[in-house]
Amino acid sequence: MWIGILLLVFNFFPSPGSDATSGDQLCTKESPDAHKVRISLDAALGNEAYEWDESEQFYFQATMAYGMRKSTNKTFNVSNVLICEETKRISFYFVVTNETSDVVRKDEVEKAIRMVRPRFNDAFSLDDKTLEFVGIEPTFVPATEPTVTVWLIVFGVVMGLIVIGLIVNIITGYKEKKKKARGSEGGGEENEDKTLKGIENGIYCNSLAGDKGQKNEAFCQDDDKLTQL
Amino acid sequence: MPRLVLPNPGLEDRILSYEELERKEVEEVDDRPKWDNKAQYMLTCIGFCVGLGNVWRFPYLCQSHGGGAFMIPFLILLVLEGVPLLHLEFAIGQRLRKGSVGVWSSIHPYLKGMGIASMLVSFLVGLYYNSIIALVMWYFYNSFQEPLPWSICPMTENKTGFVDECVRSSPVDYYWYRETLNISSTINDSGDIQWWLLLCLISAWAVLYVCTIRGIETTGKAVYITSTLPYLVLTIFLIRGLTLKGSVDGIKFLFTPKVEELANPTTWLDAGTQVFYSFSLAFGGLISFSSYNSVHNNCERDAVIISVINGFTSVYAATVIYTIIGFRATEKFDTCFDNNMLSLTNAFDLAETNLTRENYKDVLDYLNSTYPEKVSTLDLKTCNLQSFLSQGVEGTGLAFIVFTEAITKMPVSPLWSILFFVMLFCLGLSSMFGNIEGVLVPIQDMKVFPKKWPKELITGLICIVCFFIAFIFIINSGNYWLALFDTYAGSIPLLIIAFCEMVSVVYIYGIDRFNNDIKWMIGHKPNIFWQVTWRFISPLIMLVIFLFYFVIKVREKLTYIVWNPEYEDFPNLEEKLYPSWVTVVIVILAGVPSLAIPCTALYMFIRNRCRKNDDKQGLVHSTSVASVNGTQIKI
Repeated sequence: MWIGILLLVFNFFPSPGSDATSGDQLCTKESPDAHKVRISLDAALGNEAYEWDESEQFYFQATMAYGMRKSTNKTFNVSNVLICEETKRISFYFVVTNETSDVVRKDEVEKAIRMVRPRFNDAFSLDDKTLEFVGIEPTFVPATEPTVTVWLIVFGVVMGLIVIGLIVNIITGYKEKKKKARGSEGGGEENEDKTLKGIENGIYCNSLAGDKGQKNEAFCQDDDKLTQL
Repeated sequence: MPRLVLPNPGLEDRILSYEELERKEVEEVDDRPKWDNKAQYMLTCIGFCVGLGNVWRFPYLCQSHGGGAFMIPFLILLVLEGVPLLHLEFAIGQRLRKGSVGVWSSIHPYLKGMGIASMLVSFLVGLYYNSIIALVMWYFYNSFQEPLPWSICPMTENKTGFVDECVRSSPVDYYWYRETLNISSTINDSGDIQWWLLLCLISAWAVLYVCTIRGIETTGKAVYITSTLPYLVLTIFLIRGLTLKGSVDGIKFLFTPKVEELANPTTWLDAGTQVFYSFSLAFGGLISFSSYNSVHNNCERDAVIISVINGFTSVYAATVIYTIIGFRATEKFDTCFDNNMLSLTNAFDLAETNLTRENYKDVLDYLNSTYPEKVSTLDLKTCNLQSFLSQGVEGTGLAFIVFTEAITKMPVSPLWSILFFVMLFCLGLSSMFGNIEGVLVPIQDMKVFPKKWPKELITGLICIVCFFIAFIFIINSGNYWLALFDTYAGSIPLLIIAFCEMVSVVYIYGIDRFNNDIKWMIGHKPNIFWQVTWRFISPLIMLVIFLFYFVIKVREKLTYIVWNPEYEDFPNLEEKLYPSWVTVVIVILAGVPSLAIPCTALYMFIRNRCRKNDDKQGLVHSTSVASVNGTQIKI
């Protein structure tokens, strides 16, 4: 395992060479116009990750050339894109040369990349995070704004339900009160009879007679017969 | 053993005798409201007891005081403190058949202050509690969108990047502190009313009004949903939670006992206060609810059942919460680890698959020894699962920051968000029913409004007054006010009231009379457990808790934590001292309800004395003058 780590770190595996020999001088890590690319196939595709080989590299060069063409309307070929400093990470540096074999400036390349970024990503089934151009921030997808009013809609629905509930409650309360009023009128006489009966028979007052404590005389209306001490 | 009973003349006149109660029971001449069935009563009481505290206070206490070991003080104090007090309130309400003011006035007129204190506390707590429900509703309204608004940072005006405050903290923090509360950085800086919170506050009070419009007639129907839905949602979350990665770590973290915590007195104090507040005792609501029962209802069994359910709910909710917290912690840990691995891979251009979790440490050590400068520039973070798990927050922080963050990482997040906030809403609303009851019934008992005013109108008036006062919680500094009310309004006064309740019933009403009442109501005399706890153990525990709590609160510096983007340690919350005028507010919040007890007693005493003097004077001075139709006849 340690040997493996050592090998990893020091990149003893030969990196596949780039095409043009003169490009070796133009394409270096320290070149001010070089861009670093970092590709995370495993993170993007997992088990379906393809092998990053020479053909993929060629595809990259072709797509980059396509981007330059779109951006500058000048003729760029695969040979204009020089790749170097590849690692097992899958990361590498590249520069773009024009017809006169001069290196194209960094900001022009950047412009081209930004212009065709979505197509670039799609070409490799990757996205902004897994196909990283170090130094070029991914474009933001602007958040959809109408979300502000969703909560107002829900609020409106809830308030509508509340108002309906309120109306229903008030109406049922009113109806019940009317029913009770009508009911008590009709049953009023019966109630009177009951209470009179209670007192006339002396049941109520008798039940209090045996208790300890004071009796509240006011409740006993048929007084003399039952007064006790 | 001599029974200590304070002299209480005239008690018999103030309370209904057994025969009168039987008669009222049979003939149903009482116009007092009644429960439709026993289930409504139980669900209402359970709903009142089970509230937001079960979900966001108990799990935090459990985890921070030794996990499984916390169960021991919690259960002990539940049995010795919670159940006796609950039984006492149920029994006295059922026997005297009045709300809190009526019950204590009946026991002794000087004790009216206890009812008033309960009413004031219910009022203050109800104010801020419903404001929390308003915040829950705000999150509920915003849950109907994908992606959830608190899952990503918003963009700046010119769409060049994300808002700085959000990037420095996190999307959930930003959403809570900025987009919801729009919080200022001190309590002094009041700001103005946040219109979106105003709408939510309107809906919160409107829902409450609709449900309590005719007292238990309407709340009795509402509780079928508000008391049962939380259990359903908790179960759904439990099932979902257990299928998420890392949930078992959360549960293990919660319940792993640390027995040495039991030696810490704070553990016992927190357990005692949690049991006490969790049972919603001394608010007066439970006495009212119990007074609507049939007079032979078995209140002893009810008290035990409700205590058990309350305790079980606390533990159940804690389990569910910690499955989700475990999931969140694992997610954060994984992300942290993956980020570290990515930094390392990118910096040293290692092949993607070569660096794994298993060999990470070895590779890091090797690289650190060979390229230390390069490694130190990488800003590798220490990823510790335990520290993520113990980021256990309590209160609104748990619900609105930690839990919402966890939800954003679950698939189909809007559904879980909606379910969670519906559950919080139901938990809060059912507790509010009890609070409103604790405010309304004393007002009715004290005959503040004329009798012919319909109940709907009185309830509406109370709701509107509370609504306007609650504006203080929706200004920029509203959340600081909320924390203030939470800490001081509902803590000390309740302890005092509860202690006075026990003393009043046992020593002023008379434990013998109370025992006989219960024997008459449920058929058997309360056994030795109740006797011992009512007379000695529970009042003693209440006293100890109150003293410790009071001493701790008085001695600690009055500080609060603020969200200050200019703080150098941002996004950590800054701790600030309260300005001096806040001390006055605290004294009012905690002092006025507590002082209502002695002040009302004093007032009644003075009034009694004056009346006695007047009576005496009347006897001496009045002369009978014969009069026909009011004109004196001179004989």
